[in-house]
Amino acid sequence: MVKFSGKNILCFCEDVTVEEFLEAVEKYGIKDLQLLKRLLGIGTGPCQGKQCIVRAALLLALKKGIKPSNVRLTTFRPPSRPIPLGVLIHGELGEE
Amino acid sequence: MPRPSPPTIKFYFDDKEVVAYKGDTIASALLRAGIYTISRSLKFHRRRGVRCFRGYCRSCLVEVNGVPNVPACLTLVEDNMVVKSQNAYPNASYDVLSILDKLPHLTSYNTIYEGAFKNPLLWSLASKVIEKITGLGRFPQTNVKYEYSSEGVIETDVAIIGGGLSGLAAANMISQYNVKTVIVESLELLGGRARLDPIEDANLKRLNVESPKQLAEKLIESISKNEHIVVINNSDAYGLYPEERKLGVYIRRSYNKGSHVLIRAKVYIVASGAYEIPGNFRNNDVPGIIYDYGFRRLILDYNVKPKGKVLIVGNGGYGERLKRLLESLNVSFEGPVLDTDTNIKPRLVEVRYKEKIRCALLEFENGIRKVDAEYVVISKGYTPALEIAGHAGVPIVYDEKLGQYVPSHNMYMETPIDNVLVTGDTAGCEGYYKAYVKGEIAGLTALVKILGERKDVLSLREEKVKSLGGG
Repeated sequence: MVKFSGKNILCFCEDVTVEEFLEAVEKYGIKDLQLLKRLLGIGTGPCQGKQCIVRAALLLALKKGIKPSNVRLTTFRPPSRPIPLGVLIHGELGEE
Repeated sequence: MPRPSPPTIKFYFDDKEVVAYKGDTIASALLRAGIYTISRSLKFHRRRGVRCFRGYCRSCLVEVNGVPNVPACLTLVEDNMVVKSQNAYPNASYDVLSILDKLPHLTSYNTIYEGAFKNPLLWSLASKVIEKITGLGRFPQTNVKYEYSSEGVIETDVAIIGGGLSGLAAANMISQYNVKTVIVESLELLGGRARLDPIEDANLKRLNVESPKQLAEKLIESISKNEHIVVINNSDAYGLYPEERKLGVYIRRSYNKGSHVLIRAKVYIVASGAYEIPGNFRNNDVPGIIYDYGFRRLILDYNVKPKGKVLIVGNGGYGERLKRLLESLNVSFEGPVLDTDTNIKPRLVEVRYKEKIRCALLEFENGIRKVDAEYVVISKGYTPALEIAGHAGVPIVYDEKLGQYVPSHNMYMETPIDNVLVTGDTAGCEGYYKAYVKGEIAGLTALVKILGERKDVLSLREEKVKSLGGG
């Protein structure tokens, strides 16, 4: 028999595993994605949830037996892509 | 085509000399040189490498000449560049802190909140250690020079975020009415994924082209001749504020150089495309696992030919199309197979790795089989890029029919925000033909908003909506 090992990662940036996510959902009964984001850090890394938030929402819906339409996604905030902070000062100058 | 080619230049990665071609990005040069691990992850210090190869996944962040968090996949190699891995002690290939990966219970959030770290004294001690060994890169050294500038404000009629198939279709439509358009594209070339897909697509026969590539090239040619269209390449649209009519754009020039430009448009079309659905199997994050679009860029644009076998994951349309591409290029492959999203076999359950992928474990009805692979390519499908429409204020809804979260929109691609339209894969991933037609519809809706309700525009739009079939 082959013994499986290794992690199935949900949030690649913050190193959150699927197992850890499901534990938070099942053991702690959290069904709000916003809260899960704050607890686990999913979607708060450099990719800003581009790889994990939708997958997490669908996983949450499946585990809770609810429709994906009833899962509210986390809030989208700029910057939608990481940009150097130093360049933003030119954003205001550009308006003059 | 950027196709890296001689002369060769040299740079340093973790103090090792690496040879690259002119036109190589740091990522393509490292993969060509057989270096897969280029960084370590934040918490478990797992191996990180090139995953999306188009800038969004930020898995390949490196330190370049002292500047931290530079995306290796978007940054061109310069002669004698000093590139270093991040979060790795002493280096990415061998990291002593990867021991953390073996102690999952210590670092699990659930353990931290429930267990020993409830003790404030213990926690204050632990948090100091955590601060030391985690984080994104080192603070930039003082001798690093940054060159950021402003390119001011661009006034235009329409701004299109994304120069893929639907963005180009919209721009092409709009330009025929002498209306000014600016296209903001994140990569160095227009055409998106379609440009990298030379395989025949029967749905496109209606548009008198054979393949998505042909359609993209036709559009690029037509657009390059048009004086009403301005294209801004290598740019990140980082914020859309529709009420103030502001789109903030960062133009990347180099690892330490860039410009800011503010785009004031009457109508914004969000054609930002879609992101790959990640793999669902053990070790789905290790270097060598690469997403569909990026893999196409790697082998077609950057000419990095796989030395070993390629395992294709995802046997819907996307996996099938990649299979046909690899067949045409004589690249040896396995699959397409599914992953643990389903029970259908064969499915990928685990990837084993050391410096690079050693093998993949496929589960068949009668047991497990190990297959060799250099790359595991995730071609399961796409999920709309929601963030720009999302923070512009467009509500995100779940489309039951497509099984995707999409920005709320009607059949004219209008959103509840008056001057924001969505189109293409952003409005739901439904293949090349629909992406193209949705682009045209968005273009026509933008024209209605700018030119008023002109009869010819309205009737053409109705025709296009009909050709989408079922709205």
